[in-house]
Amino acid sequence: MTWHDVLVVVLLMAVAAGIIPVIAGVVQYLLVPVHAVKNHLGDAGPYLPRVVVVVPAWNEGAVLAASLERLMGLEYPPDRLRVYVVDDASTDDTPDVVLAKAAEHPGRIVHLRRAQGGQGKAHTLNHGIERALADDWMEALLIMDADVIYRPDSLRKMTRHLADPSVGAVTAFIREGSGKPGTVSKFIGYEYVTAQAAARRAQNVMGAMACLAGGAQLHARANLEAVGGRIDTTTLAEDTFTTFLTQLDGRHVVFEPAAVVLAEEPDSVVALWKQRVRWARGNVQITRRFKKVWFRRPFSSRGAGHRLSSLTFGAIWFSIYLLPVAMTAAALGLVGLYFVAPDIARTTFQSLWWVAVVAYVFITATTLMLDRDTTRRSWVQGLLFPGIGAIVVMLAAWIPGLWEVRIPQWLGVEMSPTAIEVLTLVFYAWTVIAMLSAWLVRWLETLPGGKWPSRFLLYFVGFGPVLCAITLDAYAKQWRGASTAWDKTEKTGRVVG
Amino acid sequence: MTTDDETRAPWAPAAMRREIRADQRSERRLIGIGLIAAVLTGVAIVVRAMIA
Repeated sequence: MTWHDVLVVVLLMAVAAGIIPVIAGVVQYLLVPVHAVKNHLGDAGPYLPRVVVVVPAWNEGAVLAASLERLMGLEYPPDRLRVYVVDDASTDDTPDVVLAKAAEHPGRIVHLRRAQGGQGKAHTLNHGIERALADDWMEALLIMDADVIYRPDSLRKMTRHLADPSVGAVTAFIREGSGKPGTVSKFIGYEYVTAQAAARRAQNVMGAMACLAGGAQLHARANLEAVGGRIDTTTLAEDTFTTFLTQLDGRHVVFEPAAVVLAEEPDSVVALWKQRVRWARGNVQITRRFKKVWFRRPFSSRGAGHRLSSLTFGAIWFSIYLLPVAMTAAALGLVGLYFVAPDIARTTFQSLWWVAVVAYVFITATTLMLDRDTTRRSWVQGLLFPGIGAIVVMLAAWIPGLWEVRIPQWLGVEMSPTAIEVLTLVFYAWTVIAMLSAWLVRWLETLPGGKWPSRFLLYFVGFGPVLCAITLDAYAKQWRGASTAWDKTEKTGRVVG
Repeated sequence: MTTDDETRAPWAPAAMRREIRADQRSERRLIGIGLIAAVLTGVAIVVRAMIA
């Protein structure tokens, strides 16, 4: 074997790294239909524990009244539901809003105020949890966000799973519910169907849950006490931390797709970036903190009482965690092969993107059929989720010669060899080009009059690559040791339920 | 039949059991969704074979 052959093998392995996340995504989606027969509903039953809802609130005056009114209207026995609003030393009208609602619903809404605020959501939650655990009334505790709107049947659809004592916590389907969603909110709406309605069903099937949604975490009292009676304050992903602790302690975490909770999500790339860097940095912290969990024998971990160590769950977790690395490796591999072994590069490019086309069609078709409400709002964003650019590249791989020969022929023109070379290299490096262009999307948005060019570029680059770029940025910030101060996402009360 | 069963509240045990059964039936549509998605993927592969 010559050095040339060795280099070709190394480059091929780099490209193969890019296929792993795509295959992991397809595997996850293949598990979704299995949820039809393998779900927790068979072990659910009529169970209505006394629930304390903890609502962390820092300057949430604009959204709290609607959220509290919806909580009071839940189809749940009124004498079994109490709401603790933990006011994190708000400087707006949050206390007035809460006190007015408490007067309307005496004994059912309680205003708890922290004298010193600004420490972050976990600290705020702990204030309410400590109070709830202080008396025996509470049998289950629901953690939610101040802006989310619970559908009337959602809470009892969650509590029914706690009828099974092996279940420690239950989460719901958070659906983007802005009244007039913009482009970014619509992309997030579609993303939430993939990341929750699809992925968490698959995780139900696997028996390992990645994360209880921050806005909808229902804990059995026993579980809350077993994980220490408080939420971790040392990471930026306190919800994921609790999810892992619950499962490591031998209790199941269940996702209930029929419990729908509406949330307002960011409608600008800048706000999205801020929110997701926090989430992604939290995941970096979680991955390190639970390093002894990953890929441990026995992979099924029945004896250990959890399945976080399974090969499938680990592969899916790291496919998302290392997505920027995989995308970069694939592009470097293809571009390297282009210069070292052009024929192999062509075949490899077609194979890589052939798999991507299959994954795109299967995943997009499934997602669009999963949640009709979201599809009505976000079908365009669903189809263009990977970006127009990626679809152009997929077509290039699917139909060889389409852009270089066939279309120019139809137009009666001919592409120069140099133009073909440049186009080929752009196709090969697209995963990295799209990821780096995400910074341009964000920068354009900050310019006067830059919103619409930014949106156009977002459609071209794709929402997926933007999320990938944010993860890359999170790595960099985590590596630099940037501040981990909790950075709140502004909410305006756009949710319509 | 308990007193709760006789109430019309949506959280009455009988109503909740019906709701669970309905949601179980609703989840069965996932099999159809998976099949349709698989067929669409198959169609894409066949079209590609015909064009290329």
